Amino acid sequence: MVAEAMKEALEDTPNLSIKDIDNHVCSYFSDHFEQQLAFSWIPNDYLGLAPKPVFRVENGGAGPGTAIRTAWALVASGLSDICLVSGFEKQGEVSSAKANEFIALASDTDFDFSVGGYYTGYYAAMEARHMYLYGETEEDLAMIAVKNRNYSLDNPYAQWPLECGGKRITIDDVLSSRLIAWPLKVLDCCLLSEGASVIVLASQKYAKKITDTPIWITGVGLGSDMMRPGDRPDNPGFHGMFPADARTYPKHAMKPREPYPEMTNFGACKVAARTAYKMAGIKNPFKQVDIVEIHDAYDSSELQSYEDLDFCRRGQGKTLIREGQTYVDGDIPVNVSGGLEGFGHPVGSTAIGQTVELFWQMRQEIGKKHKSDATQVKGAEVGLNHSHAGTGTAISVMIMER
Amino acid sequence: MEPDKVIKEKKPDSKWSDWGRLGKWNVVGYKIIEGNKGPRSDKLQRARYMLVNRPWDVMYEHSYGLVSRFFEALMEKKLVGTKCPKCGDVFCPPRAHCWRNKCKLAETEWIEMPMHGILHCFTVLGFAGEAFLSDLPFILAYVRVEGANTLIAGRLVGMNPEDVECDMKVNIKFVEHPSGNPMDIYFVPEGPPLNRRSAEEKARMRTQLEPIRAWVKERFKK
Repeated sequence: MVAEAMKEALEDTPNLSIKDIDNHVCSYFSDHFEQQLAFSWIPNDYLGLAPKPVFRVENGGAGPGTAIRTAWALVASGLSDICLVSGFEKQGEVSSAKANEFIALASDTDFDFSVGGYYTGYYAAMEARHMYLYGETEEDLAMIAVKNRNYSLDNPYAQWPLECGGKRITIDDVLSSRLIAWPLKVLDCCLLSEGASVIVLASQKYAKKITDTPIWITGVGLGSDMMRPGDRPDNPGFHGMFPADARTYPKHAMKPREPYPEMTNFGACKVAARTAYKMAGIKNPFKQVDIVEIHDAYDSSELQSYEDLDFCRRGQGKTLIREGQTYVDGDIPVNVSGGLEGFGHPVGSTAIGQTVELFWQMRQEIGKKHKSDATQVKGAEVGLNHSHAGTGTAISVMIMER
Repeated sequence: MEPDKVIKEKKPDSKWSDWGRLGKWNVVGYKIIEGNKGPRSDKLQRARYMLVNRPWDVMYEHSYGLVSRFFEALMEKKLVGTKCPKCGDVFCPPRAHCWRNKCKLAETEWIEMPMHGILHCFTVLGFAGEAFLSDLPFILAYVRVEGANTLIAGRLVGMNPEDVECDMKVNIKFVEHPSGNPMDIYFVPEGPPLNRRSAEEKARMRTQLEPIRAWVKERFKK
């Protein structure tokens, strides 16, 4: 799978040669899915990269975003001129219930997994409280699922079109799909996937030799939060950091000691976003960012992330989707690739694959790559990639500019 | 140096003794498949490939380490937490060291916790990890035990799922035979439903749960 992705990158970029790559950062999530430790060594030698340096970056679902940030640091520091970032995952070797159990091993196995918890359950409990505080409905969430899944029908790299037979879905389809963890139904959740992707980062000097139209990484951020979501409502770690978000806590609910992010929002995302925005000189992301790929492991987390990425005030995520702002023709298109719900979620590859989609978008190549320009965002100059782990335990944000 | 001694022990049932040996990465089945493969859905090609079945499993001997007291107390039907002697923050689930930077990883002290609290948030599970499928559907809740600065996860029983709401009061109960597992405690509502959810919302949740109950009944013959 990695070789197939690399082959396509080489075909698209005639001036790129594997022999010029001097470092390789590899991302995959779970040793359990692949049942192969140190798996990064295999794609490295298979691509003909040995004896160049290779290592794995693993940070849960934010692994691929963290891998890109690590590779960026290698290039920015001068340790590397041309660095390959590869990512892959194979989740299909075990049953869906076992796969969910493997993923749940990234949560606290003593206290949270042991009572029957797993990720959809944790996210559902967090969303149930977000709904209780801010009043979005199951229909609002379903709008996001419909948006992302239907956009994926225009993306031949996406998984959902094969599963649904190319049929568009409606809000009623989402609402009547099997309950997984209230308020989330199966169509509110991402897919279990197999897939791989690669990107190549190069210093300013080498990038111009490889391509006439490079896309520049102008900001990177990474944040973290408590591993157990139950440790967040009173966690002193975020004390006083985001007063505007803390002030939006509604009066009808019992207010914890630290009202933001508590269990309803992703403080790690806010930290990562503010870091990346500052580095890239972005003051108003809603106005300045043209296209976004969010880690929509659940449509609820896309809605919550609108708020944590400062696209809107906390509690207004529902307004953004109701007004259609995040559709392809909206002010801030989100997940027009299909996102994790439509494009797929091969964990270690996910944010790398989404970066590839942003790369094509910003080079106006969607028509060529997808054989349809229905989801091409015209004139996209500034892109944002978001990668998300645990229950929001590690989150990366990257700004890309043409 | 004195050797380690076992103070108390419950040996695993002998049925588990072959757990590690039985699944030993042998090929116990296979399939040869001709299927559609390729990186793009518009360029799939027929390809032949082989799948093998390899079982693999492990018996873990896992240490609860510095928070072992919590699990020992569960077996005595007591709920305990820890308290930082410097800032007074209370942890249940316990932390052996305080989380505040200014307390510089101060060692916490064990305290007994009250058997009631507030349900912070919850979900009704219609799917779960393999180990918990036969329990479906069940209510997973995060509860703030009174006085604690952390929330503990567990199951809520004794209420219809459609009546459960955030911020309701709950009591904490013990199972009859605790085993040193967070499942030794469970939550029950302290009072009647708060009834803040509309009749329509409740009906929708009931409808969502019907196929789950039918699926569990069929799959596990319950």
